Amino acid sequence: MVAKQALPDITTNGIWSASSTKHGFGINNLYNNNIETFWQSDGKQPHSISVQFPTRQHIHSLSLYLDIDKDESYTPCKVCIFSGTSQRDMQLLQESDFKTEPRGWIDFTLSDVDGPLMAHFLRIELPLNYENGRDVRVRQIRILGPPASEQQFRANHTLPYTSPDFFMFDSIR
Amino acid sequence: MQKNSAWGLGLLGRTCFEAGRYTEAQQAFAASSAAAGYRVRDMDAYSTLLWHMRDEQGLAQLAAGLVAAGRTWSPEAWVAAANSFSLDGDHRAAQRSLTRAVQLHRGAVPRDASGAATGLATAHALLGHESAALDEAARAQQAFRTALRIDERHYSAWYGLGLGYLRQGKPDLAEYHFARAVALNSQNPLLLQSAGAVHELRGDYARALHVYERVGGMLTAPRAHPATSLVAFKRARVLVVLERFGEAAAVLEPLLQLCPREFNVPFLLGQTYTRLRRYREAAACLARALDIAPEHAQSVREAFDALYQQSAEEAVDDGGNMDPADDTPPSSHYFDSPSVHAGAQHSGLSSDWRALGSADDRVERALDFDLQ
Repeated sequence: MVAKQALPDITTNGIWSASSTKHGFGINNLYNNNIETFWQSDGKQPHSISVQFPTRQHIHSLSLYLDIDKDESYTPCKVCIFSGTSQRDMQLLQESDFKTEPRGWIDFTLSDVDGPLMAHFLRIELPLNYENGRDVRVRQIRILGPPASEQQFRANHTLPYTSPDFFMFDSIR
Repeated sequence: MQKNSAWGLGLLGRTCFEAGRYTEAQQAFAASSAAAGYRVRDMDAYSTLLWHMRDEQGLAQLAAGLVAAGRTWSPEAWVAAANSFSLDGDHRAAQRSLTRAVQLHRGAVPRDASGAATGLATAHALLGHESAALDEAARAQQAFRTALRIDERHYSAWYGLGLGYLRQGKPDLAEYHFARAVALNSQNPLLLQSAGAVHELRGDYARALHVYERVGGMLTAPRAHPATSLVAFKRARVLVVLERFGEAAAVLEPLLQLCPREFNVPFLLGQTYTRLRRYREAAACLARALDIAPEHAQSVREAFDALYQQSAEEAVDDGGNMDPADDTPPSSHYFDSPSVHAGAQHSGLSSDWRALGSADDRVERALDFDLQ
């Protein structure tokens, strides 16, 4: 958890939507920093949560807060993560079945050896529940960017130019 | 006589502007607008030039004059106003002004078929650049495509599309659009080196280096182009990434004299010297960078930290390997003679630390000043 604090939280940079929502248990409960509230689906499986970012994001990891003790058959037992620039070109990134019953934060690392995942769009699909439950509950969700220093190194390898000879030719219009 | 007419000077200005010779273009445009103060034609290009040169005052003055004269009928006036807003950072207002320019272009009786079409395409392309500045990728792309539909030979729109793809991390599409822009305007230094940016994105630094070397050669061939320094700097940056520090330092050293007001040159040179173990020169360069741009103190401080860490590690290594026979203090006159190369000397670290200490004091003082 200490390492998690050092990473920038980019959860609310995007626009969130869900495949379905039970009235009163809306999607905004996912990022209100309160694990007592939750989002609940109200429809057919597979349920999914999507986030569309206005700009391309560097994404390090995704975390879900699930609690089987409170939610019982509403708890998902399988998670598929898709990414892309929009829902039309998304591709399956990870597919995981839970080995142990989830209690608390479940982390999915999306960075690989090439660096952080870069995407405009993420979809978290929840196709199956424990005890064959129908609807699903998620209490919190969090998307974290790469460590700030790494991102800064990539983005600002050069700081803004200060002399006319340099900035004149830096851009064109 | 023809040559010094407002029409001729405007044409000269446009030509120089599109070839990236901005100083000459500015002189021509200034003479043109002095010769005929209420002439609006070519003034959209002049305002774009002033935007490139970041001449806020001149641009605001030009825009105010043009809008006062041609608020209701001149699209050029609104383009100038948009450029002025954009330089000020108000991209929304710039978008509104450009929308007005587009409307006026549509309503205007075409002066001559090609001229009016180019002006309309320019307004759309600028709208695209403003949207790109606001991170509205889809809208920017749409505006650039509109510009190209009106005038397929508008290189700025091709470049804007390429840049959009580069930001989205699509190097192949970016390369194609940059190539189209270069085919239309093979004089502009920025367009020529755009292929280098594509290779950098792909991580193919050897090819990026090749591009920068070639463009650098092209720009110096007849007479030195003002953009030569920037191309040389980018070449040095790629050399640093390739860990060819000696060559990078050789490229950067003359730039230190050529561009005394540029922060990035001493900053990068300081980091290069650090890797070359020339710590005293590195400290001098970083201190100079700090003098140029005190607002980047945090980055300079990180570079200093890396310098300390590396020299300290080296001191430990040297201590471990040191032969008792070699364990003699460096002669005192060594540091008095300025002609001696600091990089040739490794064992005199304690004295190097003293030299660094004074530079560090300057950093500390600058940081304190910044906090107050």
